[in-house]
Amino acid sequence: MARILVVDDEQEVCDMLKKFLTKRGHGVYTALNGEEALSIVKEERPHIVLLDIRMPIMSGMECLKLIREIDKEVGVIMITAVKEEEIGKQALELGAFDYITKPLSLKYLEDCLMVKLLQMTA
Amino acid sequence: MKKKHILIVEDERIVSADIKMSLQRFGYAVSGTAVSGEEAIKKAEKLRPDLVLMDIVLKDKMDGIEAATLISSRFDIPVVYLTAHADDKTLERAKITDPFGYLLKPFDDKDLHTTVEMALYKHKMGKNLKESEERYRTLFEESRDAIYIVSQEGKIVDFNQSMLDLFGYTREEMQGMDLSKIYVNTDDRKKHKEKMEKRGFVKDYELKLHNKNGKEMNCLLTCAVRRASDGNISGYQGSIHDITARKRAEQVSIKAKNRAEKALRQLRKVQTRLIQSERLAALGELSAGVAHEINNPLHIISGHAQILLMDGGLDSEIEETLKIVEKQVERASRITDQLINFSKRTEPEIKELDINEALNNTFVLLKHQLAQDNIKIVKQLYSEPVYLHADPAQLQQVFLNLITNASQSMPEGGTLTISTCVRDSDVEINFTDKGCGIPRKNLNRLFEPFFSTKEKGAGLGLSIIYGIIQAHEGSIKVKSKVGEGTTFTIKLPVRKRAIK
Repeated sequence: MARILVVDDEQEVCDMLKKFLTKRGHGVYTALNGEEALSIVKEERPHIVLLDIRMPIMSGMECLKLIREIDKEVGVIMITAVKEEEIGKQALELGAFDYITKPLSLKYLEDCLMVKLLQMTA
Repeated sequence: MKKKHILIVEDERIVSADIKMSLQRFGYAVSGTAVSGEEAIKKAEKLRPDLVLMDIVLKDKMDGIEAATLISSRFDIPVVYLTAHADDKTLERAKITDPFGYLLKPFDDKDLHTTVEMALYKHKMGKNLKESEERYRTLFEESRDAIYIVSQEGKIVDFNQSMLDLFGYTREEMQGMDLSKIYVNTDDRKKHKEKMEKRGFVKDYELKLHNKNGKEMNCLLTCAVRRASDGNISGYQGSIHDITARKRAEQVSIKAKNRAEKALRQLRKVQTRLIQSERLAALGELSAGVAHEINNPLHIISGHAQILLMDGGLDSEIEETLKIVEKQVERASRITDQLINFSKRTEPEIKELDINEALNNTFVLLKHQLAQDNIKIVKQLYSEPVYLHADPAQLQQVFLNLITNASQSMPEGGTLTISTCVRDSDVEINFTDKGCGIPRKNLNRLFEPFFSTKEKGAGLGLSIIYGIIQAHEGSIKVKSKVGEGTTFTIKLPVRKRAIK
């Protein structure tokens, strides 16, 4: 259905999301850091990026800026470890489509993806 | 040893020469002889002998007694009378002059020698005694302490200048004055008198005395009993040392010491508070870190559970179990949320609000619950609105938590007094319950996250309150006594109302 890139510095988080999204019929790439994520964005042009904010070396926010430079169309959904309104707001200003707090509701994520994909195909 | 010089006054020259020879034999020097009273006085003045041997009957108009009187009083030279016949009248006259001896003619050399030696010795002793008396008199008079002697009845019989200076009486007034006049408390006198009669003295007895004008003084009294030769108490002697100035200095220094100690106590208190708030801040950091770390595994657990549940077609027992997993993850995640709240990660949304109104809004929310729990709220709110810059939702959380805690401390119901008052540039909000109180050992840890004495509850309520108040640049303090109740006091800075 769609190409989705999951970026999280924890392998287990990537695995869990990959399992869920694959079951939903999406093509899933995973990246453990910002740099890896950027090269996948360049090469694979995913429709959606699920991007963790708290990551070592390159933070999610930095990564978001660079992704947007590469691809203005890609839908980025930020995933934050804790509810931080301020950071959420910033992310939206930087062009993120939404932000979700961990532990996330997969139902919410599914709805969110649907909305974004509909927007993109419209 | 220096030879003693003797002047012989004798109008019969033979007798005079005879005496002179005898004296010289005994080792005395005869500095001169005189035949008349007048000559005797002149020679006594000029020669200054150690002793005068004086014939009472002289040919001139001035007799020996007259001359002796003058010599002994003017030059302090002892006189021994020589006399052949002593009628009572003459002897009586001679006695008055306080002679150092008599030699009744005819006398032998031994009598002469003994009498002269005795006279010289007596005079020397008398002189010593006088000198020592003078020495003591000087000590007595010049002592800076007031010294007195009183009779057994308490009348002042002797005193020194310092006594007059200290009490402001004239010499005439003090002579014979009743000593009790200088006591502020006559009981004092009774007390130390009893002690003194038992032990014979009192030393540094502290008491209050007053001078003629009634000015009170702090004094130390050292006093001893005087006994007559029969051993009975004949009076008392005492010395008074005025310690008013010292006492005042002492008081000043005590006051200063107290002030210093108070400052030190305050400093320690502040230090304790600082350490406590440092610790809480460190705990806040830690909590935030822990919350982040825990959220990731929670995220993974819940994700997998959700995936399984979404797929459906599960055995109903497995489905139930997965739902429990989800629910517990949710619970854990609420705790991590609260931890993050405590660590002040959430910035307050500042609005201008009236603290009284904010409290009233909270009361409305709790009205039914409090009625059910039989809790009566007594409001003592500041008469005018007090404006703050604060996050209304966060403040409400603070009030709700404190009121709930208070009501839980009074399970049988009771009164909760909530007051607001303005102090300097702060508003003080007090929550006083009459509940079970908090044991002392728990007071210091009260605001730490996860510190709880309740069976239910994560122990985060007060730590969240602490975090919120800190974020509002305020402070929270607690006072409590087991069995009496607890008061939480919140201080928040008051803002001048923006002009609209």
